[in-house]
Amino acid sequence: MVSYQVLRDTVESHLLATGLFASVNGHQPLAAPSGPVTASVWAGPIDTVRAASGLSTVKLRLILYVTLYVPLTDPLDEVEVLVVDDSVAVMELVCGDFELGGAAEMVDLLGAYGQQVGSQLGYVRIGDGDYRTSTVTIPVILAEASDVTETP
Amino acid sequence: MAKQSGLGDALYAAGYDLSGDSNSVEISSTMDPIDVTGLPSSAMERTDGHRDSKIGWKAFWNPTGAHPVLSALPTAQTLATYCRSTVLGAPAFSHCCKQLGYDPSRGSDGTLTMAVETVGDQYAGEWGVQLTPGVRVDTAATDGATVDDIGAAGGSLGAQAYLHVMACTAVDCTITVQDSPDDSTWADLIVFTPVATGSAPTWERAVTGPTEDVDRYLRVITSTTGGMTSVSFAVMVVRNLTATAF
Repeated sequence: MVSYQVLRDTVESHLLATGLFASVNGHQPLAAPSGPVTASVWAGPIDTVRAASGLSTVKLRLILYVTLYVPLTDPLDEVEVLVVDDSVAVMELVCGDFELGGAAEMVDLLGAYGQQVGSQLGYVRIGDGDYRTSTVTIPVILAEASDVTETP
Repeated sequence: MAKQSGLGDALYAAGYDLSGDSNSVEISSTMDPIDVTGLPSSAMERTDGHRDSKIGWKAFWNPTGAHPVLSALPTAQTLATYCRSTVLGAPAFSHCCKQLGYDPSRGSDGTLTMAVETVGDQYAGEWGVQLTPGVRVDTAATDGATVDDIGAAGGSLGAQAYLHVMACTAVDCTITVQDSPDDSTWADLIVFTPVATGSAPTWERAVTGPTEDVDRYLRVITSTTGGMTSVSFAVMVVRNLTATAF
C-alpha cells in the first residue's frame, strides 16, 4: 500500500531544505499566505498507466501539485523573476530525486507515460491578497503494482 | 460465456513467471503450405507443410525480474506459455522455442522496454487448457482440482502437457497429470520428471503415446516420497483432436 503521507512529506522536505519558501503546507491555503514565497503540496488525479502495466499487474499514477504563491507587491518585475526561478528550483528538485527517496517508482520527468513534469503560471486572489502563482505538476508513478485477477 | 478482455493474463518462460514484467504479447501459428496444384486443376491445391509458431512480447526493464532471465539469450530450447487469465481450465498457448532477441528500446521520453521474440523449435505451438490456476503452490502432496475438459468424451489420440516449475523446496516432488472418465477413478496420464530443491526454475514438455486414451476429466497431483516444503508450478495440457505426429 502506497503511503501518500510519505510521498508528500518527501516533497515537503525537499522544498523546505531549499530555504526558498517561508512555509510549505500540505494543502491549498484557505487564508492569505504570508511571506515572500510560500508553497503548498496537494494531490491531483490518480489513474492507471497502461504502458507501465503488465499482463497481470496495474501501475497507478498520482499527480502531485506544488503551487507557489508570490504576493503581487512592488517591484512587480521582481515577482516575475522570483516565481520563475523558484518554479525551476522545484522542477530541479524532482529531477534530482526522481524516486522521491524510494517512495515512488519514479517521477515521470519526460512524460514516458503521458503527463510530464511542468509548470503552469497564473494569478489568484486569496482574501484581500493578490498572488502570482506557479503550479508545478509532478506525475508520480507509484512503486507498487496491483494484481489483476479474474474470478473463476 | 460472455466476451472477455485480456486483463489478468499470464506469461511464463522457462519456469519464470514474467507476467508482471511483460506489457503486451503477440502470438502467431503458421503453416507453410506446399503447392501441389496439378495440371488439370483450375484452383490452387495445397497440402500441409511445416508448422511454426511465434510468441513475441514487450518486456519491462526489471533488473531483478525479466532481465536476468531474458538477457541470458539462451541458445538451448526453452518453453514459453501464454495464459488467457489464470483460471483453472482457461485456455493457454505453449510452444517449445528458441529465444531470438532481447532488444532494448530507450525512447527520448525515458521509456525503456525490451522486444522479445521466440519462435517454435521442433514442435509448433499448441492451444490447451490450464490444469493449474496460474501458478499453483503446493506445500504438501496435493490432488488438484478437476478440470472438466470441454465436457468432451475422451479421445484416443493422446495428449501433450507443458510444465513450468517456478520454485521448489523439496526432497523430491513428482508432478503428474491424471485423467478420469467419471471424476472419481483416476489414472496417471503423464508423469513429469521429478523435481527437487535446486532444480527450479525448470520446464518440461511431456507426451502420451499417439493412441493413448484421454478421459474427460483431468487434474494435476503432486506426490513425494522424501518430503516437500513448497513447489510452485503451472501445467497446461493439450488434448489431441486429430491424429498428431511430431
